[in-house]
Amino acid sequence: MWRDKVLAPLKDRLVYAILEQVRKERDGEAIERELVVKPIESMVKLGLERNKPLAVYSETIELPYIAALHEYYAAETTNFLAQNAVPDYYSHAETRMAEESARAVLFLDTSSEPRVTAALTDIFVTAHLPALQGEVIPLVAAMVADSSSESHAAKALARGYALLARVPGAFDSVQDALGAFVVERGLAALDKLGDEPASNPRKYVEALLEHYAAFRTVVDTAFAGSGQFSLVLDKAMREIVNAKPKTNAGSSGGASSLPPAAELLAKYCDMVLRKSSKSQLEDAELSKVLDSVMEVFQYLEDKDVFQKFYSQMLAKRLIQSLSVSDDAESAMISRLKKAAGYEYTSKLQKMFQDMTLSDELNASFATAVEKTGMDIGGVAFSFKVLTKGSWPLSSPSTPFVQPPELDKLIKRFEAFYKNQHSGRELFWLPELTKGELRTAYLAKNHDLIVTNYQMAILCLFNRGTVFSVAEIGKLVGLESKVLMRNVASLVKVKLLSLVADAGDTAVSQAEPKAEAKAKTEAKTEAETDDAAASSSAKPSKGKKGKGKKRAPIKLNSSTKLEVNLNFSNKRIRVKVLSSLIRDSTEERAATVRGVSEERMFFLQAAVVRLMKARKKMAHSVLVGEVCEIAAARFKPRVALIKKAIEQLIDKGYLARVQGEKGMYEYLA
Amino acid sequence: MGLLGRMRRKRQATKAANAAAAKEVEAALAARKAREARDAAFARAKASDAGTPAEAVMDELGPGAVEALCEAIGIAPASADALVMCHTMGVARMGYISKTEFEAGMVSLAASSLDDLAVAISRRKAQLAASTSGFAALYEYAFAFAKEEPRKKIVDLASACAMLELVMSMRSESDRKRTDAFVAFLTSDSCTARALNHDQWSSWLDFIDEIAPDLSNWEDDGPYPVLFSEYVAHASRGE
Repeated sequence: MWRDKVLAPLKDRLVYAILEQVRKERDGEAIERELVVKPIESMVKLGLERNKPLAVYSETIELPYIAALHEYYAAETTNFLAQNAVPDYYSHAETRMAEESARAVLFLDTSSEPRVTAALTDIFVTAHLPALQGEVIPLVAAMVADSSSESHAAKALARGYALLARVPGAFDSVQDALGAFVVERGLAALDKLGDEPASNPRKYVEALLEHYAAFRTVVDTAFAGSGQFSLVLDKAMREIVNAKPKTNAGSSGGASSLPPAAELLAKYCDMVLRKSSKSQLEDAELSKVLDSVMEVFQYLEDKDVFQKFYSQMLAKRLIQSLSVSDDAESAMISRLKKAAGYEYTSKLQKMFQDMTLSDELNASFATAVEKTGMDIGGVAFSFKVLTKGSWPLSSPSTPFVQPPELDKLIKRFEAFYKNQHSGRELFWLPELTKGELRTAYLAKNHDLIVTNYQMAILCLFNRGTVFSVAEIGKLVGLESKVLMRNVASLVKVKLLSLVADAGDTAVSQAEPKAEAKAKTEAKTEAETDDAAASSSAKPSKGKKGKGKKRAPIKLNSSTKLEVNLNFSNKRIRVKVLSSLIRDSTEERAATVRGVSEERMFFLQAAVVRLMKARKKMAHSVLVGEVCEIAAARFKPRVALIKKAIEQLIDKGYLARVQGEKGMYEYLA
Repeated sequence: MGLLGRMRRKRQATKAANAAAAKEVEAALAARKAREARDAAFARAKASDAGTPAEAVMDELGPGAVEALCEAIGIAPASADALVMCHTMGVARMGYISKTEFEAGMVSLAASSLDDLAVAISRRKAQLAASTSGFAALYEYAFAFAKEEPRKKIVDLASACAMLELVMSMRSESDRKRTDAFVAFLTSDSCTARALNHDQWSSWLDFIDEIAPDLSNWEDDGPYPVLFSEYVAHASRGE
């Protein structure tokens, strides 16, 4: 009755009147709200049809209301955008949408809420999507530049994010743009560092982390910590960390096409964990630095390269007793273990353990020496017994005869060790050994810190006064290249001097009474190389300086040498170690070569393991699974996996299945 | 009746047996004739070995004789026909044909004289070219045949390319052109390989069969050896 007789004829006028009131309110005029609320309420009550109780309400007022909403704001938003910047629109839209939601709550039935919300999204966001999306990246840039989370840009960005979040898929293009932006900025930041990271890897790690932190803030504050954007950020970081440098491919030693991150990170660890006179980090600070290293580490694809460099540097630190502290070393190892698994750190762990075991061994040997009154030639000692296979060391490159002064000690120790561990074999690595000799022939006695080879050469002069280089070579047993290097360094510090051919060989009674405090490393076999990185910088500089003034020292096998009796040095302890330095680029190239060999080996092993288990596998499946297996160590290129497969086919482990394209079978 | 019937059956059986026996004798005679003919053919071929060191080995044709054999039946020594002949004979070593190999080949080709041989070879060549599995077997044989020594696993690039051209000359013009392009790549500076292994060799036939001439269905991560990725990269650079 009411519906048909009263509402129907009045409907159009009534609705027009209502919407006119609403429009006035939108324009900012004060209205009598009751005049809107009451009629709409009555329409809601006209729910006569049972299955569609709100049909009258919906048809009569809800739809026109929403249509009016569209009409009003289509013009309003377009005008606003035309006259104002997008960030201002963000806040404008925010306020207007809040107003309209509140108005809808007041005027309309609660059932209309979702429809109004959808309409608002359409009007304020979807209709202007490209413009709104386009502003995100500039705002991110502004926010990163400003860095305070309270900045204008940060607030605008948060508003923009909230708006766009209303439209499903609105972030897809933004995401890609953001990823590209993060990568571009990150690479630019690294590029700006130039060659600096090579000498100061800390700059590299800091630049990366700073970059990460800036964008992390953006995601956390402006993008509400969105998981979607966190993933974008992670992906971008991975790309940055694993990027190859664009330029100077030739200058940085063509040996490697590897991205520099793994090596730099390992170097940074070495810098932090190595004892240095300069600045020691506090424990808390150190722990923070290690955490930051791990942050970069998680993005690293070449985890195997890092492992390789890290273990080499760790070996040096341990052998030369240059670690900041055992605690720091084990803290880093346990972090790596947590991030990359037990297997990844097992060798590092073993190296670390060897040190503790060696200390115990030295102590018990010392006790034995004392107890039994064993004659070890009156020298102090420290042996390090290293497990073969765990250490990145190579067996000595030259034959060598230990000086007789050390002979007894070494024999006794070998006997002692074999008595404790029967069946184990000891191989000596004199290349890594240093010793201290005290001079007894000078006014002021010096302690000379020398390599094992240099020690042997000096000890010769306990038995004679003049030796030719050839004689030294014969007695010490060194290969001529190594011999020359060691003799040269002794001559350079002026411990030895050349005997003028015509000159009378002044007989000197002086005897460099050697009290050798030998630090000797032994181990049950070995592999790579060693360079005294710590002392590399200083002596080489000194060399250059002197070289200018003096003619270079010319040595040949007939050159005669004698002890320089006028040797003097300001310091009591004199380091002569420089000949330990190996060509570091050569060493690096060897490491890189080692890595690629190991990768090939690893891939082949993975392929064989899979094929052995499955007997028959499709190419794509096999490649996919090998990638997965390798992921913890490195990210293999498909071509490399294919090479591995080819080699296995060649060796007869695998065959292509006849008549089935892309299938391999395992040949037992 | 019973007896008569039995007798008739017996007579028939005897007749059949006699016929069979006669046939056997005939076949034996023919076989002997054929063998003699083959022996004669072999001897004729062997005669060309005179004056070469291979003369000493009586049961084997040396390089001189093999070349002369080819000449005698009117095929070039480095031709698809010669390859088909060796394949049919199952020749193990390039340039040497043993008497067993020679005879097996003649039997397989149903040829008794050198004059038959030429015709039979060209017939066999056509058969092989028309059959997928037949050609695959010939292609497979060609790799083994190109090896310097049976023990070696690879064929140096020059021999491989020559053999590839030779065997693929039996295929369609499009296949031949594609092979020419591949060979051009193999001998160019952008190819790092110095030899082909068996896998690379056999992959070329798969490549021809499976990959479209415009390379539109090529996938770099697919199961082909890396050499083929290099080839496709080279080809797409338009070199």
